[in-house]
Amino acid sequence: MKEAHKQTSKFVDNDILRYFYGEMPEEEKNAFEQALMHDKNLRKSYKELTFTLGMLPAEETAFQSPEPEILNNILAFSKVSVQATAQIHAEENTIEDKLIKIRKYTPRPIIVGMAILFSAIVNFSGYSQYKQATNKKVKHEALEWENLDNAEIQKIHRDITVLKEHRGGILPADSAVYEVVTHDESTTIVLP
Amino acid sequence: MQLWSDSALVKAYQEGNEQAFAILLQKHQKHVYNVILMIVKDKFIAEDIFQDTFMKVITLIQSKQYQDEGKFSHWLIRIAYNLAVDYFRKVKKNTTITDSEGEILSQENRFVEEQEADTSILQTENEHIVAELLKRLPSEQREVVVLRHYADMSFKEIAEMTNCSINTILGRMRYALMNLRKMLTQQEFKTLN
Repeated sequence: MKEAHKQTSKFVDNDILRYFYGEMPEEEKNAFEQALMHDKNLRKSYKELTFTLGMLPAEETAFQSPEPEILNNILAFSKVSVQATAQIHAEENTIEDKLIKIRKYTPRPIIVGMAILFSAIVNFSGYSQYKQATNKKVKHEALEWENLDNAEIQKIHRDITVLKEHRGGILPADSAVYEVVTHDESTTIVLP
Repeated sequence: MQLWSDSALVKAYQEGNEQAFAILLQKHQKHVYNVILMIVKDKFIAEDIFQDTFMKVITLIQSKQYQDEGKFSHWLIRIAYNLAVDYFRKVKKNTTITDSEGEILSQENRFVEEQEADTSILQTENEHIVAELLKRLPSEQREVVVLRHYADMSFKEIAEMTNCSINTILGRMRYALMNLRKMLTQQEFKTLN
C-alpha cells in the first residue's frame, strides 16, 4: 500500500496520455497500472481523458480527401519524373561506355613503365640511340584518335613537335618516348 | 494480393515502377492532406501544399535522396508539415484577419472555463460533431491530435518535428482533449435547449 502511494505520486495527466498511446517502458507501465488501482484522482483523470479520446471520430469521418484532379496531377508529374530519370540513367550508361573505351585504349602501366625506361635510355644516349630503339619497334600501342579526348590529342601533338624538334639532338629529360601505331599506321609519336 | 511495405514500394518506384508510387499516394494521401488542412484550414491552399509535398517527395525519391531510416509515412508527414508551416508563417506575417466590423479576430479559440462533461451522448451520433469541433481547436492543439491520433507519430517524434519539448506536446494534447470535451458539453446543452 505504501509502495502504491509512492508510485501514484509521480504520475501526472501527461503520463495518462503516454500510457494510452503505449509510449511507456514496460516497468513504468506496470507502475502506472498499480497507481491507477490505488489513486482515486489519477483514476478520475484517466477516465475523463480516455473518454474524450474514445470520442475522437474514426479516420474516415474526420479526414477528407483531396480532389481527384490533384491526385491525377501528382501521378502525371510522377510519370514525367520516372521517364526523365530513366533518360538520365541511359545517358549515364552511354558516358560510362565511352569511358570504358578510352580506358581500353589508354596505355597500360607496363607500357608506360617501359616508356619511362626508354626515355631514360634516350636521355642518356641521345637521339641516335633513340632512333635505333624505335626502329626495332620495341613498343606498340594502338590508339584510335576518335576515342581520345581533346586534351590527350593536344598532348600527342605537342609530343610530336617535341620529337621533331629534337631529331638529331637529345630529347629533354622529362619526355618519355614510345611508339604509337595510330589508325593509318603512319605516325610515330612520343607520349610523356 | 501481395502486400508491399512502404520500403519495397519506394525501392520499386526508384527502379521505375510508376504503379508503386500510385500505391504509396493512395495509401498516404488522407493523412498527409489532413495534416496540411488542419494547419492551413483552407481546402484550396491545402490542396496546393499537398501537391507540392508529393512533387517534392517524387523528386527526392527519384534522385535517391530518400534514406530508408525510419517510417516512410513519418518522413512524408514531416515534409508536408514543414511546407504547411512555412506557408502558414508567411501568411501570418502578411495578413490580419478581421470581422465584418473591422475588428481583428484571433485565429485561435481559447477555452478556459472548466465544465463537467455529460457522458450520455451517443458516440455514433457524435462522430461528425466531434470532427467539426476538432476544426475549432487552436491550431497547435489540433496539430498534435492529428499527428498523434491519426498520423501515428509518437509524442517524441512530434516534439522533434515541431521543435518543442515533449511536455509541451503532451500538454497541448491534454488541453485539446479538455477543450473538445467542453465543446461537446456546450453542443449538447444547445441541442437540449
